[in-house]
Amino acid sequence: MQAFLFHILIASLIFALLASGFKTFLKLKGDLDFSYMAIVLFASYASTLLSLKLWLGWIPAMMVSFLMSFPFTLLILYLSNKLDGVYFTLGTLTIYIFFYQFAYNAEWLTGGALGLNNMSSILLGSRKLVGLEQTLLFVAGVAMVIFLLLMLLRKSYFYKLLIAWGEREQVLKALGIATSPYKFALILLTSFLATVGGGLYAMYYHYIDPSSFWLGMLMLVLIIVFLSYKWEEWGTAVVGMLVLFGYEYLRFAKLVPADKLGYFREIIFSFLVLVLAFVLFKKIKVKREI
Amino acid sequence: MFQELHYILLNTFLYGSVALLIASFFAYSKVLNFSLGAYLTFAAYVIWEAIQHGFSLTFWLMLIVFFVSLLLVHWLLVSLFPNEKQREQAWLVITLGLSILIENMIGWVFGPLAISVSGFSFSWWQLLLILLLGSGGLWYRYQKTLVGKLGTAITENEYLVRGMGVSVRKFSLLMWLVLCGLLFLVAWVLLNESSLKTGDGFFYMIKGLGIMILAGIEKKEYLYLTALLYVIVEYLLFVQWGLPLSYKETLILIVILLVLLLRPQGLFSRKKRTL
Repeated sequence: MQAFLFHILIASLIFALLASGFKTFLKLKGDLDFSYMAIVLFASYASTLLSLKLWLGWIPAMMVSFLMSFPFTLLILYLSNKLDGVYFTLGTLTIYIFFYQFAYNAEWLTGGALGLNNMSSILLGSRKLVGLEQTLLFVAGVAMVIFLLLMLLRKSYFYKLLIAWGEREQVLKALGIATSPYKFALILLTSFLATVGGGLYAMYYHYIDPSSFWLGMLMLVLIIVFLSYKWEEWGTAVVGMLVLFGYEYLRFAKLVPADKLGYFREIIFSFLVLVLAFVLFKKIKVKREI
Repeated sequence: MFQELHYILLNTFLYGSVALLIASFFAYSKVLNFSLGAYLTFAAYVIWEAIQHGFSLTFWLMLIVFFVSLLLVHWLLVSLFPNEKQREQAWLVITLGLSILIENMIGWVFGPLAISVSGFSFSWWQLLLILLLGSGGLWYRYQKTLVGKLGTAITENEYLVRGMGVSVRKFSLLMWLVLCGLLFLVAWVLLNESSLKTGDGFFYMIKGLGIMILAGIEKKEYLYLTALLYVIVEYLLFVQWGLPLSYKETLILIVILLVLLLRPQGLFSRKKRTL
């Protein structure tokens, strides 16, 4: 029972981190950015490969993964300059599916459908996380630092400029303010959150395959984003706990035969996404048309 | 030679038809329906159930769920989100969610194994005839007939058409029924010529989406021609030049990204699309 609770807490903090990045972009830009999930996938694989092949600890692997994700940040920036609204979302969805396909097909690198396992729990040098307690403390520490930084960001002048960019890009341009740096800063910030979330996911679960990052994960992230849309980061963490508890409860409670379990969970959660999207998209303020 | 021709024409028909479905649903609802791939799988399972077990209770239940869910979700969306900007974002998430829901419900009932029906196969000349008639019919409809022009007018300015006393709702409903017929036809051909399992519909949908973007969203009359061009390139790359077949699904993703970045209005649209 204690192990189950620890697992829920760790997993929910990781998903809350993932949802925070997705939500930040949605709130500020008003568009859904599915390439965020591509960066989560990329960071998870990059950190796992760096750990397995080069024996890097989690912290340096994270830093290298973040640097490696930089070209994608530029690509998304370019996309956001060229496309708007549903076309931007479509472009980012294509990037997401492209990465998923690549992870499946590049067996020589990613292990294909069999995935990669045995990522070490070494953080830096010889410092290693042992047991669920230490993992929970570490994940909670990372989440707390990032949540505090996001809360500080929200109070800053820079955040207000980001909101202004999301709502009135044309006005900012008319005032002679270059909007590209803000766009770049926002995409860089969400890439960083995706990298940390993806890296933590790979380190905690010790096993990743392409299906881990497919629509099931996207649904979980979207549910947390929708349910906690009006709340700050702590609300996201609480919602993450409740959602992950429900998700994992369905696995352990054995409500349906084992061979139907996957379908059952996806049916419940995709239905939840449908209902939440219908209810909450009416309340979510999307980008104004200018 | 004829086998290769059959491969090219069959895939042209399948990709082009899925593209036509997506483009037509887009024309009447102004949003991209990502659940059409799942509905294609759904239609295939409905047909398979009828062939295997006759008009059983499961068949009728599936048929009812098929039409009710398709119409209900669309009606809810249009009623709840009158603002088009809000609707397109909501629609994207809702249809993705619906897609996963349908695929998993099919998986729950029928399991993960692929289904197919052996019995009928089109010859290459039959496929060629269907494609010529289909393309010609589409061109004639959208260029020459009042009904085709009315469809384009509804896409451009629904309120103006309503103001002229045309019942847009009746017209859209009629088009929906025709499109559902096409969906079942594509599913039937797919079942006969190939096999299908849950999850495959999503990738057919991505292919159709890519073809639609490549042709230009409003250029429905060029969809089969674009599909033919795409299938020839796909054939050359993966069959003639031997690129790994596992990357076949990736080609369309590269095409979508390149078109969105370099020529968002598509190959056959002259006017620049406002993005």
